Amino acid sequence: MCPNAPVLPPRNAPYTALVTFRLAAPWAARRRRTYGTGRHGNPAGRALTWVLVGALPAGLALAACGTGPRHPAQAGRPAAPSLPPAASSPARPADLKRLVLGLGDLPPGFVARPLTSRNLPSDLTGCAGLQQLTGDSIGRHEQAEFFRPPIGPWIDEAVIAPASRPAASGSAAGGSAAGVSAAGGALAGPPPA
Amino acid sequence: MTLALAPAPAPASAASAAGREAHAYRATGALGGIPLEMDIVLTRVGGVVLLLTNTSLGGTADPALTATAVRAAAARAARA
Repeated sequence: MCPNAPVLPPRNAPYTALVTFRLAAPWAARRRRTYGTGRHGNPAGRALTWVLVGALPAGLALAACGTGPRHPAQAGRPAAPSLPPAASSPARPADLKRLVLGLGDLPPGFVARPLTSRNLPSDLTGCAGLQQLTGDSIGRHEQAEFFRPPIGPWIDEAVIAPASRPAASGSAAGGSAAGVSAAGGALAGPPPA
Repeated sequence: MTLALAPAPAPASAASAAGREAHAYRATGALGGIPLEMDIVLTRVGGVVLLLTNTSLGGTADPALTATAVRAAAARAARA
């Protein structure tokens, strides 16, 4: 057997096997090195494009756990978020899809990007405050992401139907302010321990 | 990578379109030496919460674009 012949993984091989295959097969490595050329101009631009692919989810997760100042309305409040009672009935799932931004809502030049498990707000990890928010209060949601080639900007949107509706404290107006501020405060919460 | 997060003025168009308060933040930092800016806007419209971000690498996040997107998102949500 030729020593350089690629060893094909079984059809049902796990992803790790595919990675091994790519690393072991010279032709696959060559293809990987040239992947992404031709459309985005110079090498620096291509590199930046690939960096940007993973920048937004990571950026938002880090921003959510940022060390910047907390919102003034959040000062003195516990980190646990509590969304306010909804002003109207929560939207049904079909409604949520209809409420998400479309390309036509944005200036020309944007393209839709497929969502992944790393898109916000679902499946974010590493930030205790945000995980608490997503675990306790975020129910159904629809998301969309748009990108203006070649290097952005990115527009991400999540339309969320809150799952939990704890009793509002104080007046209706105060409860509304506290609830939304708490959700925002989770974004500006302290870094995880 | 560390991003600093600070409250920022919420786009007035978002507050007016939503008819509710909106909370906005500006995140700044660097990714691989490239400056990163992210506008984060959180608002509630009726029974839904909108979380919208505008991220720019290598430049400043365009507040006009943020406002445009938030206004459109709030307008859509208001139809519910």
